[in-house]
Amino acid sequence: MNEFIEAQVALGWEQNLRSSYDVVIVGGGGHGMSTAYHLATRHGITDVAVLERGYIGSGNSGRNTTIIRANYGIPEAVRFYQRSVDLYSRLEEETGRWIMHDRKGLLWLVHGTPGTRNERARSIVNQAFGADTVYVTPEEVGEICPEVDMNAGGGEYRVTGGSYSPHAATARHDRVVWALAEGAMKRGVHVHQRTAVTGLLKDGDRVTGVMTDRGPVTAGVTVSAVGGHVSTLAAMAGVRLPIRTHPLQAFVTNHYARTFRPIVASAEMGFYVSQTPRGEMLLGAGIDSQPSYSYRSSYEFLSHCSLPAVTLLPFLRDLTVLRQWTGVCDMSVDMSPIMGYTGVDGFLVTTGWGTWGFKGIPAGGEQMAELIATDRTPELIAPFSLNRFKEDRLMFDPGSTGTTH
Amino acid sequence: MSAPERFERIGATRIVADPGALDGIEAPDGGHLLRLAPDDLLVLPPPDRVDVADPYALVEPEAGFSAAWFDRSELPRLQALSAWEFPRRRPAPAQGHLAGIPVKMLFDVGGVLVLVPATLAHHLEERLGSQDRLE
Amino acid sequence: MIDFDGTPVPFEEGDTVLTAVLRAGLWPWSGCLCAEGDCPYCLVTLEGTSYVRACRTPASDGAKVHSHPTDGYPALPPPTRTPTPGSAVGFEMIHCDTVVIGQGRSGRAAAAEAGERGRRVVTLDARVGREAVGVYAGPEVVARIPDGMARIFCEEVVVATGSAEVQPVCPGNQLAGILTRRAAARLAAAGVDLGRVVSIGAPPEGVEHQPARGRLARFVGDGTVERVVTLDEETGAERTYPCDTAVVGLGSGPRDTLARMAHGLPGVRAVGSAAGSLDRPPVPEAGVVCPCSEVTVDDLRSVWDRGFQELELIKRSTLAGTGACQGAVCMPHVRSFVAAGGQELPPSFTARPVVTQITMGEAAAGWYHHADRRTALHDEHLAMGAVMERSRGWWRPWTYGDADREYWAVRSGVSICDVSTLGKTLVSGPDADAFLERIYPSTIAPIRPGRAKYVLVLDERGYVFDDGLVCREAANRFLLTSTSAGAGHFEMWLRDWADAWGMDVRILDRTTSWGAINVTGPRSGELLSRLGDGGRLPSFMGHTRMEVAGFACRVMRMSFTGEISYELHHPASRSEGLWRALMESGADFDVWPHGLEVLEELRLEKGHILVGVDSLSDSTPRRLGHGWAVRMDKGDFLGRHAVARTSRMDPDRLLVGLEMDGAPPPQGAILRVKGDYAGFVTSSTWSRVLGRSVMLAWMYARDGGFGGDILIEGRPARRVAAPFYDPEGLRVRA
Ligand SMILES: Cc1cc2nc3c(=O)[nH]c(=O)nc-3n(C[C@H](O)[C@H](O)[C@H](O)COP(=O)(O)OP(=O)(O)OC[C@H]3O[C@@H](n4cnc5c(N)ncnc54)[C@H](O)[C@@H]3O)c2cc1C
Repeated sequence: MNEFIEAQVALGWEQNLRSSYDVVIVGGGGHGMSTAYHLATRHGITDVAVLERGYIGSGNSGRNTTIIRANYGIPEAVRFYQRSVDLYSRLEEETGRWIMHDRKGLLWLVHGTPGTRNERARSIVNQAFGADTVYVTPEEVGEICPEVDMNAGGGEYRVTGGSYSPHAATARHDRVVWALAEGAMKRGVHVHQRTAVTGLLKDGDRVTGVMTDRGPVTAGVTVSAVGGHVSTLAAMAGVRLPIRTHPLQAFVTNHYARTFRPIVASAEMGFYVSQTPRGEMLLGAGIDSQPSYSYRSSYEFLSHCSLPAVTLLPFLRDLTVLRQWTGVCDMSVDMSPIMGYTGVDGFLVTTGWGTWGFKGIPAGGEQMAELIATDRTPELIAPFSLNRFKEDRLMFDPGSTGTTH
Repeated sequence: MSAPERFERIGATRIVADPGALDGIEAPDGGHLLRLAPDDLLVLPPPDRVDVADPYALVEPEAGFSAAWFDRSELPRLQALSAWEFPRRRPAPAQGHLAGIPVKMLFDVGGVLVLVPATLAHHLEERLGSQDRLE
Repeated sequence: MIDFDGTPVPFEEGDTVLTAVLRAGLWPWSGCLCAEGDCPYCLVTLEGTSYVRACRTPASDGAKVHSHPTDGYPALPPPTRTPTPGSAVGFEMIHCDTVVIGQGRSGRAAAAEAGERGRRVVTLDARVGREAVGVYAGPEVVARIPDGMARIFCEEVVVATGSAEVQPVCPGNQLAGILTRRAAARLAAAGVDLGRVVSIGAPPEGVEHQPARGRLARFVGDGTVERVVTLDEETGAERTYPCDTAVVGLGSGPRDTLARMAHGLPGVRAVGSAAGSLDRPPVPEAGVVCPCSEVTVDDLRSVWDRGFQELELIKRSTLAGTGACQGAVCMPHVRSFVAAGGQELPPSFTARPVVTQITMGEAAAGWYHHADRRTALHDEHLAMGAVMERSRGWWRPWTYGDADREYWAVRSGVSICDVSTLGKTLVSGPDADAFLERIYPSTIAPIRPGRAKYVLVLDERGYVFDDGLVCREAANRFLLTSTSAGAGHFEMWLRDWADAWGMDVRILDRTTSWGAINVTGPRSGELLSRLGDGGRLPSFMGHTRMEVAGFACRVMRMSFTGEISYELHHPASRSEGLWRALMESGADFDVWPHGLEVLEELRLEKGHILVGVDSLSDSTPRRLGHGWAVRMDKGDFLGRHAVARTSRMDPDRLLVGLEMDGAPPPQGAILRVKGDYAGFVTSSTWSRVLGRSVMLAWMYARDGGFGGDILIEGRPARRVAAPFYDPEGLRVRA
C-alpha cells in the first residue's frame, strides 16, 4: 500500500433514481458536487440529486492541473477567488478528508519591462483585495526558486522579475470531488452515476426538471454544472451563452523525490509547472486555439510546453514524460465564470469555468447553494451573473487569461 | 555540414488585383511568378513595367521578403523540417511553415528558392543553421 | 565495460544492460522481469536520466548506470544553469504512406504487403532502437529513433506490437529471480545462467526447467525467490518447489496501447497479436497488483467496499495503473477484479500518450520559441547601444541609454524613432470608400486625397481593439495604419469583412515591406527640408510622396509625441540608408533617436491612449473618452448596434486624465475616493517638461457620478482633461 491510496472516503450510492427532487444538479464535477455539498451542509437542503453521465469527477475536475490561486487582475475576481482559497485551506478540517492540500506559493515570472509593470500592477490589486501577492526582484526569484535559469535562453528570456503569491496551493483534484460527494451523500443527497441528461422538462417557459436516459426527473430547481458541455444543455433551455469550448492539455513526468517547491509560471514563455504530492512534475500551457470538443492530445502540445519549460528550468530536460491528457473547457468571452440566474425560470447555471475553475469549486458551490436556498444572488458573485453581458458589465480579467489556470 | 544559409532581402513586385487580371501576367525573363492567393501575385525580379488589366490593381515594390536558394541536394534537409510534404511536380510553388517559420517556396528542377518575411529571416537562418550543428 | 552502481560489468555485442548485468551474476531488480519493455521492474538511471528500462538500453562502453531506488523515487537532477553538453537532440519530420509499428511476424507481413501496394513504408521496432512514442491525429506517429526524435506523417498506421505476457499476482511476486517465459527463453539464449528453473503454466522454450503442477499460490524467499508454492485445485494441497529462478507462463494479452490511443482515428489498425484478446487472469486474491504504485489486492478490496466500484474510480483512488508501466502489469488483474464484483470484464481505461517515456529535452526537440520579429533597423539599434525589449511580437529599442537626452531631443530639437512595426495596409477598389465607411466608426468620405484622419477600430460588440489613421491617396485608394500589436491580423480581418460583405476591394499588407521612421521635434521640418527633394512637406494630418535623402518615401505628418512629426514610410530595404542619412544630416541639430520608454512618456503627456495598455477588452469609445471618434449619423458600421445600445446606459467607468505632485504612482496603483476603491492607473510618468506626474486611469462611477477627491497611494490627484502638454495642440500644427 502506498501512502496515497484513498483509505477514508466512503461513497454511499443510492441506486433508486426518484422521479422528483427539490434540486437537480446536472454534472458530477467539482462545481455540481460543491453546490450539493453546500446545500446540504449550509442550508439543510438534502432533497437533491446530482446526475452524472460518466463517473464523478470524469470531466475537467478530474483532469486539471489543480492550481489554486487568487492572484487575479480585477477586484471582483480577487475577492471571489480569495474566498475560495480560504475555503480550500479549511476543507480538510471540515470534511475530515485528506485532499492533499499544499500551500506552496506561485511564482509568476516575466521577461522584460512591460511584463514587470504588469506584475507590479497585479500585486497592487491583489493586496488591496485580500490576496498576498508581492512583486519580486530577480534576486528574490532566485531565492524562492534556485532552479530558475535567470538568463534563460541565453538571455532571450532573461528573468526581470515577477510576482509571488504565497497563498497559492494545489490539491488532489479527484479527492476534492470525492470529499464533497461523500459529505453530500452522508447528508442524504443522491448522486447517480451513468445517468445522462438528454433533455429538459418544461412547463411553458419554465424548466421543471430533466429527461435522463433512465427516465424523467422533475425538480424545483435545475442547475447546469456540466463543464465544457454547457452550450448543448443550455440550448435545451433556450439559453444562449457567451461560451466557446476549447481543449486544454496537460502532461506529467514520472515520479521524483519531492524537492521542487513553488508553482512556477511564465505567461510570456507559455507554460507553468508544479510538482505533485506524489512527485510527478505537472505541466500545462494555454488552450488549443481551435474550438473543439475533442479529448485528443497532440504531440505539438508536448513539444511547445516542454521547450519553454526546459529553457527556464534546465533540470527538467532529463525528466521523462509519463502521460499527457486533455479536457474541454467552457471558455467565457471575458474569461470569468458565469453563475446564477439565466432568465429562464427554474434553470440556473454555473459555467464559464474555462481553464480556471478548479480553484473556484468551494466558493462557487457555496455561493450557488446560497443563491438556491435564499433565491437571492449573493453579493460576492453578483458581478458574475449572466446579465452582465446584457448590461455591458463584462469582467475581462487579464489575470485569468494567462497561461496559468 | 554546410554553412548556415544567409538570407538576403530581395526585390520583387507585388500585385493585388482582380484574379482574372493576374492570370494574364507573364513571368519576366528568367524570373518567376508566385501566386500567393487568387488575387495576390509576386513577380521576381521586379519587372520594368507590368500591365494589369485592373484599374484598381495595387502594384507595389515588395521589400518584405528575404530569400535564399537551396540546391536540390538540400531538399531532404529542408523536408525534415516541414510538417507538410513538398510537391513533387516541377516547377511548383508552395507556402507553409519551414522550421516553424512561414515561408513561400518555388521548387525548380535544380533546387528551391525559399522566401521568408524579412522580419523573421534571422530566425530561419538560425533554425536551419542549428539543424546543421546537430547532424 | 558498463559501470553499474560502481561495479564494472562486461558486455557482449548485442547485449542490453539487462542481459549484461544478469550475465554478470547480479540481479538488482525485484519482480517478474519481462525483458520486453512492458513491466516496470528493470528501471535504471542512465547518465542522469531515470526511468530508463535496462531491457531497452543497448550496453555501451563506459555507460554509467545506477539502479532505480527501491525506497522512494529518484532525486530530481540538480539545477543546471547551462545545457548539458551534447544534450541537443536530433529531430526530423518524415513523410510516408504507411507506418508499421512492430516488426514481428505480422508487422513484417504488413510492411511487405504495403510495399507491394507501392506505398512508402516506414517501420518501427523498439528492439532496434526505433520506438513509437505515440499515435496522434493525422495520423501522425512520433518515434524515438537513433538520430533523435521523428514525427512521421502518413496515411495509415499498422499497429503490430504483438502481445504482452500476463504478470503473476500473488504473495511474493515482488521477489527477485522471477521471469516471464519469454524473458527466460531470451535471457537463457543470451547466456544468462538461470540456475535451477521452476516453471509455472506454459513452459519457457529452450530452457531447462522443472514444471510445477497446480495453480500458482505464492513465491517464497528472502529478497530473492527460493521456492515456488502451488495449490492443487482439486485437493487443495500445496506443493513446494525449491528454485533459483521462477518462470511464469500465464498467457498474454494484446500489446495494444497504441491502437487504443488512436481509437477512432481513421487509418489506424492493429494486426496480429496486438489485435488479439486477453487471456483473462484469475481474480487476484493477494499480493501486489500494481508495482508502480504499490497497490495490493487488499487495497482494491478496501476502495471497492467504500464505493469505488468502477475501473476509473479504482484507478484514481488507488493510483493503480498510473505509474511508469501505465497499467501494463496491473490492468488485466484489476479488470478481472472488477468483473468478479458482478460486472463484465470492463474495457481497459483510455490509453494516453506516451508509450515510450521520452525526456522533456527530447519532447522539446524540433520546437521553437515564439519567433519575435525584427525590423530592418535591428542591427542599427544594437550598434547604437540600444537596450531591446520584446513588445507585442517585435523586438524594439527600449532606450539608447540616456532617456533624458532622448526626451529632450524630441521636445526641443529633433529625434528619430523606428516605427516600422506600425501596421500599414493599402486598400483600393470601386468599393473602397463604402468598405471603409462600414469598417470604421468615423466618416471617410470627407477625407480628401493627401489628408488623413484618426480612427478607432471597433469589433461587433462596439469595443475598441485597435486604432490608427486612414490616409486617402486617391479617389478609390487608401493607406490604413494600425498599431504594432494589431499589425499581424489586420489584413486578414479586413479581408474577412470584405468577403463577408461582398465588397469589391483589393487589400495589401505593407507592414513588413515598408520601414517607417518617425522624425519628430520642433526642428524636424528643417531636417527634412534639407534632405527633401524640394517638394512641399505636408501640413498637419496630411501626407505626400517625396524623396528624402534620395529614398522614395510616403511622408505623413501626424503626431504621437506632441511635436511636429513626419513619418517616413519607405521600402524596408532602404531603412538603414535613410536612418543613417537622418543621423548624419541632423548631426548639427544633435539629432538623437528615442526608444519606446521615452515614447510612452511623450505620448502620455499628450494623453494619447495605447490600445491594449490603457484600454481594456471591453472599452467602448465612450468609456475611453473617444466618443468624438464615432459618428452615429452615418450609415452602418461595425459595432454600431452595440455602441447605440451601450450609449443608452449610464456610464460605469471612464478613462480619465490625472495629475499629481511628486513621483508617479506605478501602473496599477489604486484610486480611492472617500476610502472606497474608485479605479486604477493604466499609465503614468513623471513629466519632465511639466514638472509633475501625469497619468491615465480607469475611474469607476460612484453614486452615478465621477466626482469626489481622489487619493492615490494616499496622495491627492487632480482630474484634468488630457492632453496634459500643449492642450491646444499648437506645437504639432506649427
Ligand atoms: C488540463 C486542464 C488543466 C486545468 N488546470 C486548472 C488549474 O490549474 N486551476 C484551475 O482552477 N482550473 C483548472 N482547470 C479548469 C478546471 O478543471 C475546470 O474549470 C473545473 O474542473 C470545472 O468544474 P465543473 O464541475 O464545472 O466541470 P467538470 O468537472 O467538467 O464536470 C462536468 C460534469 O458534467 C458531466 N456532464 C456533462 N454533460 C452531462 C449531461 N448531459 N448529463 C449528465 N452529466 C453531464 C460530465 O461528465 C462532467 O463530469 C483545468 C482544466 C483542464 C482541462
